[in-house]
Amino acid sequence: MEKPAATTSSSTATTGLQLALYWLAVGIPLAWGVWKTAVKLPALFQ
Amino acid sequence: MSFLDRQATVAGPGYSRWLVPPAALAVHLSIGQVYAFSVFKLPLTEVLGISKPAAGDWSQPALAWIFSIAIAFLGISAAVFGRWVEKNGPRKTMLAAACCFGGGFLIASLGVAWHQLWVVYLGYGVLGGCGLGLGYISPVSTLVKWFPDRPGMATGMAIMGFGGGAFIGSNLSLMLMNAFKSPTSTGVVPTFVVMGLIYFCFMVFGAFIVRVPADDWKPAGYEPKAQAQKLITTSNVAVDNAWKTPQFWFLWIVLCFNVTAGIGILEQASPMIREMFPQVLGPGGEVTRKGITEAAATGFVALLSLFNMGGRFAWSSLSDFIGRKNVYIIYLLLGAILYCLIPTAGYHGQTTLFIAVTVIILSMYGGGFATIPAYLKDLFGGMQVGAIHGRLLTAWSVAGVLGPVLVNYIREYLKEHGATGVGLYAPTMYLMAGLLVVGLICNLLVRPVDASFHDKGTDSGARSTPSTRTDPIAASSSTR
Repeated sequence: MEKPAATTSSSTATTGLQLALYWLAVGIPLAWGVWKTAVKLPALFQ
Repeated sequence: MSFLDRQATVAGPGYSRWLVPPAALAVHLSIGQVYAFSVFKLPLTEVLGISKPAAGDWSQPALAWIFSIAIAFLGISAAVFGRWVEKNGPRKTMLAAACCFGGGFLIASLGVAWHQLWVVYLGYGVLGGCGLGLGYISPVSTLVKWFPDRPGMATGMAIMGFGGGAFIGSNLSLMLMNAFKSPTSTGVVPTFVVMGLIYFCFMVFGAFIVRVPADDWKPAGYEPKAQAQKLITTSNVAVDNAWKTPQFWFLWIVLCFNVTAGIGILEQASPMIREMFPQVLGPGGEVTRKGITEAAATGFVALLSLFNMGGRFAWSSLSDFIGRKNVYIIYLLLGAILYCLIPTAGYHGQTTLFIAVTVIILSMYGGGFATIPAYLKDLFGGMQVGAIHGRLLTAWSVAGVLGPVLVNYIREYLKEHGATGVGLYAPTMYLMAGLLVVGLICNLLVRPVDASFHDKGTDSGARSTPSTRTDPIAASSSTR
């Protein structure tokens, strides 16, 4: 018997919270890395 | 059906495609660490001596092979496993990449602890390099399928993460080494272990949340064109046919020379700016021009890295509007002109011009990486774009050797013959401009792929029937 689509996939509708959590999970490390690098920039313009 | 199978990752109705880029970024932000491997070079020369190199410690040239092997295996594994990636889907591939990349760090830590360099080559270089290759192509091909209306922006997002991964990797490495450093240890071994575990967990997070769209899915309001546009096919080309086409090899040369030229700047950025703009003294011994300090040179490298990352997203997104071929004409033509301007800026002491020129060049270097998957999708269709991209990445492996070798050997040759300052770099910059002109010619020769190479059973133009399965967020925004 063919399986229904719901068992073969994540069928829950996307929530705003889910979107926010996923993007924060990658955004925070990236922002940290960029900030730690950006603080070295002023020396170039002194 | 296993949780890891492709079928298990098919998104259901109501799933937003904007949940997929974080999965791609989780992997690319991790594997982008390879760009920051140089922060380990100095500590690895002092494993025995701790505060300074001792007899028996590894040399810098021997350690340089770790990065070269990793990049070589990135290209090799992407080319060899491309079809496996397409067949098994992103979750299994991203998990395999996490095991290889995280495991590579752990094996490398054993190599450092035992002071056996070949174990480090095998761990970080071979196994970690395979993780790089698998991790690089899988999220890209997944995003291309989720964003058929904006493939350039989609691939730009993922590949921007690879550039951003260097920022995380370098700062995390330094932070951990400082924390673990002691009078009896450089702290490299525990740093490798912790980084391996962190990257493994972060990549597994990406593997768990990744989804592929259903075959009949399309973004809200997007109607695929039934007729092929000039350089955008509605058909598909299988990977084994793709590399028999002249278009594949033209793009191979374009990528190879664009990367070679960019690496030429990145590799030597710090010494280049310091040697081209030294302190100048007047007749009375007074300082008429301040030289570039070491701190300023570090800031310059940071600025280049930021533009390298930002250019990946910006240029690739622009290509959705002006076309892939046109954006490569800009990279290659403007790039060639800008490379010729570098010596001019140096001879006239124009530091600001030099910085402006080099940041634009580096943004286009990043853009070249990010736009190529969308260019491949335009020419060969989306069916096996990941596998085709994998084979094209061998150009990166070649450029990774060619760029640094050209810059370093020409500089050394010129130095032996008495050149100083700008003279050490001017011929290399003109050579890089020449390479970009060759790339420009190849790009201009790109034409639509001949229909004899098309896959007969998967004409996507024939599958472009309207569907009710759409992206809810795009649908809601389109009604505003």
